[in-house]
Amino acid sequence: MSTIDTSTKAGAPGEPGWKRYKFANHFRNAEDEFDACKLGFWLFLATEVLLFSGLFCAYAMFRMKYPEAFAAGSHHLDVKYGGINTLVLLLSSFTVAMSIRCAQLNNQKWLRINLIITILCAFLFFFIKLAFEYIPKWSQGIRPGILYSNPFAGHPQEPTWWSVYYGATGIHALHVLIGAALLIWCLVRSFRSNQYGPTHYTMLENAGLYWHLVDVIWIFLFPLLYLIH
Amino acid sequence: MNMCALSIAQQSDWLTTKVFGAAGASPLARESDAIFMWIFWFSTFWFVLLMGLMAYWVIKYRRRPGVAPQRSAHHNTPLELAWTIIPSLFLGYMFYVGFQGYISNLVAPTNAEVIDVQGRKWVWTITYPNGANPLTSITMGNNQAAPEIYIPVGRPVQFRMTSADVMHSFWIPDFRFKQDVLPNRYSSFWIEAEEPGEHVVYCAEYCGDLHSEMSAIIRAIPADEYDAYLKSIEDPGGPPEVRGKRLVDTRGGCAACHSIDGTKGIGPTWKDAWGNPVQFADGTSLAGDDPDAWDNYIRESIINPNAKIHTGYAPAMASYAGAFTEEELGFIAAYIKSLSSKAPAGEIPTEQAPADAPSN
Amino acid sequence: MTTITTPDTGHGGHHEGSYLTPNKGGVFATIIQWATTIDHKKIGMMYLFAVLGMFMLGGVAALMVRAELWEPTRTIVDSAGEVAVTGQLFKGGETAAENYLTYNRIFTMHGAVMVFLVIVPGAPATLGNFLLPLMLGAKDVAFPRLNLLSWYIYLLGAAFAVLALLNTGADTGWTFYTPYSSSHAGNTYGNIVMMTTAAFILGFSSILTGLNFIVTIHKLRCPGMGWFDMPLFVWAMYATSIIQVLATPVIGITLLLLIFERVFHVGIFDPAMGGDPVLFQHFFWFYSHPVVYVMILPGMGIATELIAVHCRKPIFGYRAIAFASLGIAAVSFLVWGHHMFASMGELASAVFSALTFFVAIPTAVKVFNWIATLYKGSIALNTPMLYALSFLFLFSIGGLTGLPLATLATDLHLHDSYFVVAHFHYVMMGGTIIAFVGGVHHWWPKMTGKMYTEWVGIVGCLLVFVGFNVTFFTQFFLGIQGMPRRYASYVDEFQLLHQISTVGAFALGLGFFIQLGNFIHSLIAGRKAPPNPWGGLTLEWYIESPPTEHNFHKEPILTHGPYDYEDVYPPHCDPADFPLPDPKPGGAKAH
Repeated sequence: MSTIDTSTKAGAPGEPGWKRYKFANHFRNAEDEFDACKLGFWLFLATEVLLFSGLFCAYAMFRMKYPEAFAAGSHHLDVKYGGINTLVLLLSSFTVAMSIRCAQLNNQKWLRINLIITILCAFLFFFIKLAFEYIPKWSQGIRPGILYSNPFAGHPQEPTWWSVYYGATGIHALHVLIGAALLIWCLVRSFRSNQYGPTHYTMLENAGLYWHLVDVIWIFLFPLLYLIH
Repeated sequence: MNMCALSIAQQSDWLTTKVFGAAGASPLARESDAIFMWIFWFSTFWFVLLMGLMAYWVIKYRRRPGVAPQRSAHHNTPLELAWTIIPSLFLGYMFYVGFQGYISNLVAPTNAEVIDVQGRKWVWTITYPNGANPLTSITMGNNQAAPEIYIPVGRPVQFRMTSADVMHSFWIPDFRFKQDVLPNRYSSFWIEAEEPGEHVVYCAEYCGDLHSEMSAIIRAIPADEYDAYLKSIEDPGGPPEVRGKRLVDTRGGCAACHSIDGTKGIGPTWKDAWGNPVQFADGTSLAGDDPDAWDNYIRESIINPNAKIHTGYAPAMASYAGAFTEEELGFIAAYIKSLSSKAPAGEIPTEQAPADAPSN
Repeated sequence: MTTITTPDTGHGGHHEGSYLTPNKGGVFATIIQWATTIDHKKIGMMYLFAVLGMFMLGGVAALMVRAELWEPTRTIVDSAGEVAVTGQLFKGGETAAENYLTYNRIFTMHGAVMVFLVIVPGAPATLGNFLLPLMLGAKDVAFPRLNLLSWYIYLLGAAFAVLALLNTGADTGWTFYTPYSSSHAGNTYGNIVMMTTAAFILGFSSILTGLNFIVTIHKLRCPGMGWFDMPLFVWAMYATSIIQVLATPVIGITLLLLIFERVFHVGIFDPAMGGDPVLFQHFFWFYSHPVVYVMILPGMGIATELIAVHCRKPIFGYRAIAFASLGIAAVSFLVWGHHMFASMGELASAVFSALTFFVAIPTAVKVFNWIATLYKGSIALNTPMLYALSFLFLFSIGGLTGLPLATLATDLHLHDSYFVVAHFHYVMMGGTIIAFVGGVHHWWPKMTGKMYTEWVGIVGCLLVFVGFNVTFFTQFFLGIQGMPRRYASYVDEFQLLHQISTVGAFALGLGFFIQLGNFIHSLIAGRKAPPNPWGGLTLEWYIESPPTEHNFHKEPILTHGPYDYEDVYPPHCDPADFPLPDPKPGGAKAH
């Protein structure tokens, strides 16, 4: 095979994974590889932001077109649950940053504890979203577009608001799950072979960046959907 | 247009006519042609210059064995600035005249005759200022009926356009202008015919199966004839099935999909339809022997076409809700009924509108 | 400064097999080896064959479209009163409308395949993948496994597209305009969802390739290679990649919303539910206009390389071309509205018209620079150079005919007519595809280690050039005279021009067929290619043809610019074949 030597698998027992890690041989050194991965990941995050920007555009356009429908729709959203979820995500962003810091300091125990808290927060967010928002609303017929069947619509265009709401939060929730999966994978690798340490924590760093993105998107969604009427 | 561009354009009148097939039908159209020809000469100048240089150098400096390329400058800032800035000035001018011409086509004079145009797969429905629809059409393209739109010579005419279903585009090549026809909003532009003549209208925005057959013909006639024509189509009256047929042919444009001779179209044929059983895609069916049920089915199919889908046909029809009054729906049902051999002889069918209609 | 420390072709060093050497384990092992490879050259070659296959599919669709338009379609009523429709090639349906539906599906297939599966991935994924690391002196792209992933994503997308086509196809046009696509089109409900899903998936492939290239260019340039020592093809790929990364996510969300709209009727784009179909157009063109430059920028980059090598001249105004690439990339995000002059308001149209003219400027600068490069050169008229000259000719026409389309007054006549069809074929095909085919000829010896037959290449190129112009130049006149695009039938007066166009299309097809035969022949019986058949100076010509798996035997160190043809003898060539001009008076450096 060609140029890459992935060489992250089991090796000298006792040595933690981050010490055994060897950078891919088409890079000149480990720093180059780390920078390359980080640059690549930032570019990927840019694409994610642009993906959501489409939804924000749709939001802005329909808000201008049907302001009353948006006011009517957002009254159905409970700031309490949105606020709790915001706090949950903010906390998780802090813990994921801490776990990266722990990797840099080679504090493996707290790295894992922080990661576990982050992952729990991710599921807590998803649970609140599902149990207190999606399911009750859906069962009341508050659904997107043609599926809308609640008899007490505040405005004929309220289904459009729900389309935007379900579209934006649904795609965001998908990102929460993807982020959680990434973090779980990091946790597994940390438990298995102490994969992350002062000289090598690329994957953890990028998973953390991804998690911050998920958080930042929510920071924009929360006021737009819950707070502005 | 400024004088310089116009004079170049006038010298190329012969060429303009060759390129466009025929001269534009109005001053604005000819101005658009003049702008086009001005851009044409501008482009030709650069193209010939560049390709001439290219050909000349390719031949002059073709590779000869043992002969080296000659040294020359690798860049030349004044030259590069010049060939960046000078064309830019021309482009700025091009934008300016283009915008002028565009705005003049959009903003209609206040005294313009407003003709409503509704695009619908795959017919143009025309409504004159007095509310009448044109009564005649011609066959264009394959076998699609194209409505005849009469307009007065020497009087500005504004088309106010909207679509009942998908996007269309109202293009009159002779007047060198078009605007997209969009659902749930209006767009408009205006024309003014200088002399009597006919002008084709095409749909220029892809709209499905019969996109290439969706056309109309504009006939410019003297203003006094036009006024007389408007009067003549106001309300010709007649028995219900005759009035129904007129609605179907003019405002409805139903023939695009529904034949009356038994051939299969995009929708079911109307010949012998009334009074016969119909099988629907969802498994239900309509018994043939209940006249009221059949009349209701016709009404529902016009207002809410996708409620019951005839087996073997796609749900392709857009709603006509609001396009016809209840009285007119009755006329259409009468017409469809008259096409069926099941209709009781001598009976004039739905003289009264359905029960839930206004008493008129 | 003419000494060079890049490695030689491995004479005396350890001999490695070329990357094309089959696996010793036999055919099956070789297939597995290719299917799991992370070698950018193999991935590039796999893309090349996939793209060529898709090009043939799209090309056949194009010829079917042209064949259908041979006759205008007329209804004839004979003396017995029988109604017959003549002039329809596609006669499967009971009615003319059903036959038109077939036509609509075929032009949609042509457009969608050519855009999403051929031109967008074409140059970046094939030549870009193969050449970018070589030109930078790198062992591979930055993320080789990601590269393999984008190849499989491309395959998945292609599979969805082909499935949709086999299942009778979609009839929306490649633009998927709402509300036709969301709630009206198609008797077969799933095809449009499948087609949009295909485009959605292909977007990911495009994003990942672009991301990979940007990082590669930033991080893997060989020692001695500054930003302005990169070949201009690399600059073009850099600008292309930026657009891919920044524009593609928007089409991602757009197609996702379109799929939601079609499946769940969420009412974002459907006017019947208060949605806005023009919003779709904005979203769509926000991606699809920049993507026009994803298509043309690599073509420009290829043409630049071809002209420099075959004229033996430094590119005139290197920096101007490099910055023009970036300038085009930047402005490309601001001009999407010029596809919608007929459906937007006055203010937006005016703004977009003005911005559109800004794109013309860097584009014109590039053309001037290419032509100026010919001056005092030593111009070899071989197949790649003929393609490059064809590119200049056709792309100039394509660019100049963009002017009346950017000018509002004239565009409102020409919009959605055959003039537009001709214009974008001159740019997309006359520009991108012609440059791409020229590039494939140019690097074919490097990629396969085989030479093709030169005279056949020249004949093919001339046939393509003539066929292309006959096909599409006539379409300018059709459009000006009032022929709308996407029409299955037309009025009789257009028949002559349509027939000329159809004849040209078949000549064009024949030309490509000859080229294909030439390639196949060269693979089977071609002469072995020397490492540097054209006397090129960029790094890929320093290594063997075809390269070894690791590209360079040791890391190259760059000591001369990519186009120092006046001062440096090309590697592996007889200096007598490529003489240098007299040294510059005073010995000053050329730059």
